[in-house]
Amino acid sequence: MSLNSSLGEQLTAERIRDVLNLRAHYAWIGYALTPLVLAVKIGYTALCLAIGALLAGYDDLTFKRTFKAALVAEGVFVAASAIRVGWGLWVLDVQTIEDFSTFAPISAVAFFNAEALPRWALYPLQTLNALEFIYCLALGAALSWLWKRSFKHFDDLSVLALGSYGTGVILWIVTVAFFLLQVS
Amino acid sequence: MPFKRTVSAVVVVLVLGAIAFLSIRIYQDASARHATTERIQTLPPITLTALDGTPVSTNHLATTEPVVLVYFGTTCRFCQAEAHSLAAHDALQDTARIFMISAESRAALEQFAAEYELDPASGIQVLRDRDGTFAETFGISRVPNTFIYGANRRLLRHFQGEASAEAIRHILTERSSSPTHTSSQDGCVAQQFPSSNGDCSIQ
Repeated sequence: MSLNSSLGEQLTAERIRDVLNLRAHYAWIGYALTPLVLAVKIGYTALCLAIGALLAGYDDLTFKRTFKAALVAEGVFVAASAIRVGWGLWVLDVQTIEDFSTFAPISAVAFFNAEALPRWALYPLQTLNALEFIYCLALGAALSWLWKRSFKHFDDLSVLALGSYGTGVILWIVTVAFFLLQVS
Repeated sequence: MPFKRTVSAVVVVLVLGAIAFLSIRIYQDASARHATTERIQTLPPITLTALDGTPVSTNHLATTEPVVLVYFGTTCRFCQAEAHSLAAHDALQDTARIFMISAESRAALEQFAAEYELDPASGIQVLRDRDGTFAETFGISRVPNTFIYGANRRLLRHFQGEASAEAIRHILTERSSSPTHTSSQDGCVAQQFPSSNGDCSIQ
């Protein structure tokens, strides 16, 4: 229904049906790629952490350990996604796709009128959110536990995560924004 | 470990350099995009070429009746669907002048016009953007793109991706029955939809 509301102003019912059929036809590609995308994302986080650890002098924080920590900390985003979907289903009044896609209350989007933002700016502003900070804390906790079996180094490793992963996120955001600008 | 540390330091410097470079490019491209949006709020003066070789200037358009400009590609199936929709909608053809514009060859456009029954007599004229001025002026990177101008030469709506003739007519009808929609703040509402809804990269 929300897809019809979003597209109905521009396309006829018949064309909307064609669009939906096309999406359904290729939906399996998205599902098949999900594990790969997740592996790349966690690998990228682990690489940022490993580089940061090397520069900070934590020589025995290997890529294997940082990968495990990133995998464990990913639970933060899983929980957040579940809450967001539940919020969209039971709390938000979702009439169009844009109502849900622009719903990002703890991100930089909340400071702007989402409808007035150019399309290329939406994803970068949504990515700048409080959840990333919580993720850095989760990375710090996971690294501390996996490395020393205690949370004694939680503070230092959280700062490491913030610096290294944070830089990686900024690089990711400007790269995506750049490409979105080119193709939109 | 010193080697690994050196490599890591070099990587960090490269990353920071990349962030700075991309940030500057984003600022430049966004500024150019904004300038384009401002420029097309009023129908810009451009000269296009009809299929018989006659020059057609936009200076004389949208002065007494609304104008719909559709930038398209002949092999783009979304453009084909939009052409079919426009050709079949008599009411829209009575409401506005419709121009379908492309940078492709005259032969390809003549074949397209014949296939979809597009001719000036029916209210739809196919024009050539021979030197790419139209695409550059309007900042077009994909097709189809539809620009709806009112009889005051002000942009009413811009659709990226396929737009049905009924949707276009609805915009024209809505705006003509609401004459207060002419304030300086009013202008284009660029309706942007995900690309899977119907557009192609310019070939």
